[in-house]
Amino acid sequence: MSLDGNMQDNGHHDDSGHQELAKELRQQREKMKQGGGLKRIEAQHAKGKLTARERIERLLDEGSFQEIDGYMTHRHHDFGMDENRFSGDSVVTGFGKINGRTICLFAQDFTVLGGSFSEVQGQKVAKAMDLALQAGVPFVGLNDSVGARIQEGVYSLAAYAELFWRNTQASGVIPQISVMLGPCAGGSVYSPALTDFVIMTQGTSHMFITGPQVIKTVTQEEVDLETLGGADTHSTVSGVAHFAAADEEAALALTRQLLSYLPSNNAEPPPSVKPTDDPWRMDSELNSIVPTDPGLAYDMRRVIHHIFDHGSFLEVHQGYAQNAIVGFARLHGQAVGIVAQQPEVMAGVIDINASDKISRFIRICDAFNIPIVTFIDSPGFMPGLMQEHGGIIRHGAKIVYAYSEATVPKLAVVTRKAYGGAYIVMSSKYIRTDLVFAWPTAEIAVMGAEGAVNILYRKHLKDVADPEAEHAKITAEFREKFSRPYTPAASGHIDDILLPSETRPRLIGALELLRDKQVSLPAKKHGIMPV
Amino acid sequence: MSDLLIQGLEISFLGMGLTFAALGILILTMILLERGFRPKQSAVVAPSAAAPAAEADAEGLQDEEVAAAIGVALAYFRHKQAKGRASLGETLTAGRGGWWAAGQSARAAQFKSTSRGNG
Repeated sequence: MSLDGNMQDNGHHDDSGHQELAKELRQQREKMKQGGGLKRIEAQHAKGKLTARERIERLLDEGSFQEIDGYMTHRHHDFGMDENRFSGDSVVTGFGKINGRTICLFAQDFTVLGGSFSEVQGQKVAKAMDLALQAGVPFVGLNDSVGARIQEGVYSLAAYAELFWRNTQASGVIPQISVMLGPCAGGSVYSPALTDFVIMTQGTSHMFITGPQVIKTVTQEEVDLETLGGADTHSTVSGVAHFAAADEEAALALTRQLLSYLPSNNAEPPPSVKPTDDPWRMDSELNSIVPTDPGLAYDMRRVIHHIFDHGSFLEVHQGYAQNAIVGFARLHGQAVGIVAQQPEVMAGVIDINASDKISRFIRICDAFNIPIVTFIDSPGFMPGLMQEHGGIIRHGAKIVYAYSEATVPKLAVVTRKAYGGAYIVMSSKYIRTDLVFAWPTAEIAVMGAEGAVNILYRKHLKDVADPEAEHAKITAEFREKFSRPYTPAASGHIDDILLPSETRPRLIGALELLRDKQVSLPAKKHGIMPV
Repeated sequence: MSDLLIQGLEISFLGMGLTFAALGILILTMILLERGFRPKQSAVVAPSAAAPAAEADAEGLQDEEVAAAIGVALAYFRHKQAKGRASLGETLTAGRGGWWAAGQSARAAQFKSTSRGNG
């Protein structure tokens, strides 16, 4: 018997009473599968969208889905609701498997009253979430809804609140992923926002608190749906979405891929795969990626691709705060989280958005026992009035907080600039990074050599005959003394200086050492993160 | 020349004569023994003077011997290399150990006591 609800008749029960019961059940199941009816299914397909059940079928391992609460209907009568009852209401809930691991999920059914969030939908999703939390399995939501069911009034709102509360309880305990496949407006956006990852489809999904019409009325701003809350906007400007997928198929495939890096719950290690890459691989190309001239940029992604298992890097928040890079990869088959600066974008400076992006990712890794590998090349925090008034102090503090709080294995590689605050916050030894390595190109100093000379020798440079030559001379001396890794290595501020090509085997060795790392923390209810 | 000196010289010559005589006898004995026990050469052995030069190198090694030597050297090199690399990553593929499990339990216990304290 398959698990898709098609009971096979084995022919042993010829009594007509039982046959009638089985027939009735089959009919009920068939009706349930039709959701809002064939006409609405066709309309959904015409918009280039799949139905809730089709999405579930594509997301899960074949034949693994088991539906629950498929017979629930709403109890409301006002505004013609008594004539609009559908089996299962506007959501399909249940559990199934992804790559052999069980997950719980819901899929809003747009063919039933626009997938509107009803009291019943809330109850069904809450039950699925409770099961996920009790069983310690990931929870995935496939969102496609017009929002709260207005006809149900406060019942709908209460159901939302139940969901938000559960999202919060499950946060950091089981992975929660929201896949946005249609509209999501008003209060309903807070459930996806409370989950760990948001994946949006380009062109078909939208998220916003208030729509273009309301905005026009209130602020006189004219904006279209896509600019206001489309996938590109949220994955590049607001950072609400972690991934923007070209279509539904891509979004569902991405969900499967993302889950392959995450454990089922916070008491388990992340899933590993059989290593296919040589742990001793030392790509000599790495030795020349970082230019010796500190003024030249390079692509940190090249560094990542050469060090980690081939083809294993999954970048998170790729389009948002591109001066920082975060994502998952594998080292000898083991999942690790990568945090890095991107010297190609704004020289890898840390700004408000990069701070949010980095700190959030660190906390996800720490919650799910995923070791963190940090690559540092940053001239420091972004200067400017906008940044200061925007709260760069508070946002930057989030990075320190997240790294300091994290108890997973923490490794860091200083590839080039680690100046001032950037050195301190980006996984320095003193916020308990387990091992800090540096490449020969590393410059660990309070600030860049030129800036330091300008401050320290300002008076002296005014008095000399040839200030430019003098400046160049002092800068070279300063760089020799403070901008090379041997001075910090001599005092133990970094643990070792590596040839870039040696980084992969050294990181694998370090991860072996720290595999079972344990840290005891002071007892507290929770800290006060500078959010 | 005093009698004492003459006597000393006689004794010296006698001693040296006896020593050299004994050594000569020993050498002769060794030569005779070597001849008496020398292994007989097989009649078939005589290597053909026409054998191609390629079959033996300057030190008289055959191709098979050279191949064997290379094989042994390679095996030794690989063994040495493997000895230095074998263990990298094995701990990771073996999964988390008891230390990690113990830490998880301790953390859970700490969390429970904290929750009670706040409750």
